[in-house]
Amino acid sequence: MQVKVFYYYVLWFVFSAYHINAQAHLQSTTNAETPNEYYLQVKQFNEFIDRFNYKTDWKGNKIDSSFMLKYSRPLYLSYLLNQSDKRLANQNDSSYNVLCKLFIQEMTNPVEPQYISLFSGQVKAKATVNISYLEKQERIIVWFTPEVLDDRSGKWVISQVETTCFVTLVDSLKTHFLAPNSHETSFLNLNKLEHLSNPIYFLPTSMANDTKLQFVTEVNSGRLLINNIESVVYEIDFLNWVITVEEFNRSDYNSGWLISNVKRL
Amino acid sequence: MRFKITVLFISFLFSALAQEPSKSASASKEAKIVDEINLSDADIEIFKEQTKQKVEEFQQHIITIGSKDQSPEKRNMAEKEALKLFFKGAEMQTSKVNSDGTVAIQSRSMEIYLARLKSLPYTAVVIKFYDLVYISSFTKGPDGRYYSSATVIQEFTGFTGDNLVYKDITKKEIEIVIDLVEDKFFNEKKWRVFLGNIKATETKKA
Repeated sequence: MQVKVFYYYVLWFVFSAYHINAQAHLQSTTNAETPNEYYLQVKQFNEFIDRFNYKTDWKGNKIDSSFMLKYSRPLYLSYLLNQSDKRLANQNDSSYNVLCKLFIQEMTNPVEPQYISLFSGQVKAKATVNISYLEKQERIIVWFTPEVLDDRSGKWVISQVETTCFVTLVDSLKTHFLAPNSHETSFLNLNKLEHLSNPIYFLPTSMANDTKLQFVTEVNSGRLLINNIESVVYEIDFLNWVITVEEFNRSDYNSGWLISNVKRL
Repeated sequence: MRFKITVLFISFLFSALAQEPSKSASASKEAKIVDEINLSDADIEIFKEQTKQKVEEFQQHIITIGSKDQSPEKRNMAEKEALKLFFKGAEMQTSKVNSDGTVAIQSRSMEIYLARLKSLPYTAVVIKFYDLVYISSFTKGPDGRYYSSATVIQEFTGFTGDNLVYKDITKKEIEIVIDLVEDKFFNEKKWRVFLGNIKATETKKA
């Protein structure tokens, strides 16, 4: 709790001076003055990465030497932790406190500082998705990972789908297949593919059992409807560490995309 | 005579273009970046500036559409102009936290969202946007377009008579797409900023 009060005090005190200065540059486009909490709030996941990497300040401007003098990277990084986490507030159980301090120390080690790169393979997004499938409402988990292409462009791809709602598809593998003697008739029965409810039945069993392939084919067939994305959580891997980043939607200086869990591997 | 008419026409054209600051701003710089594949810091700054202009244009349209003081003609025009800023098929997803802690999510097409904004059940509506516009860095997609997102904060107040009956603050994440489009008149390609899907999250209710 004392840590939380300390951060609030420090950030509020110094930010007030900084904010007065910053407002002078914004008058030309002003509709209404932004309350301080929205500057401090981590509004986008990209903003979280930029702050974690000590690249941008609260306004999204590049961090300069004067900012560095006021806020060291460890201090700036500590504010990316969810300060409302009971494990941080509970002084009787300080193990999570110690773990977080150790994490910040390792990330900001001057000899080997660690950073987040969205397209380096260390970031995964976990989306909770509400769907309608075979007239039932279901909640599934879809994992996404960023992929970089040869022309230095990037995109997100579906890397994994967690659900048990495709059991009937697995059962159908026993009724829809190319018979073991199909080679003798030069695979004439390949044309059965045109009438299959799902084309994955003729693929290797390992692929046909792959939930992400089942997911995309069922969406494509119109049997599965995506209702909405309920929430998104990010997992970021470092050397020896994994952190979880979640959005905390609350009216608070410590809000937005914050570290909800730190785990040592 | 034909020469005079041509000169007059060109003068008229330039004066007309000068009325639209968002289109004329940085036009020469736009031309410079047409053939470049990778973005320099200077290009990113131009894109950020153009994005900010588009977002502010959208904010102004929202304020006009929502305002009951404006004439129906002006509000309809703002609705039409706002839609032009978006890619076809853009959606607005809103999420609200219910009193029991569950989250209510609703998606609407941008056309429906803007039309609803005109017919809200209040006698007066005040929509304000905070001066903060956060724009993330631009990433190239496989289609050659550049993608980013902008965050704006909106304060909405609804009145019935003199009574404030509803107030909320929502954070809007706006998908930004920068596309190379052909300008047939000038026979050249230009980068243009389009708005895409919007995710609106209620952060505070008063």
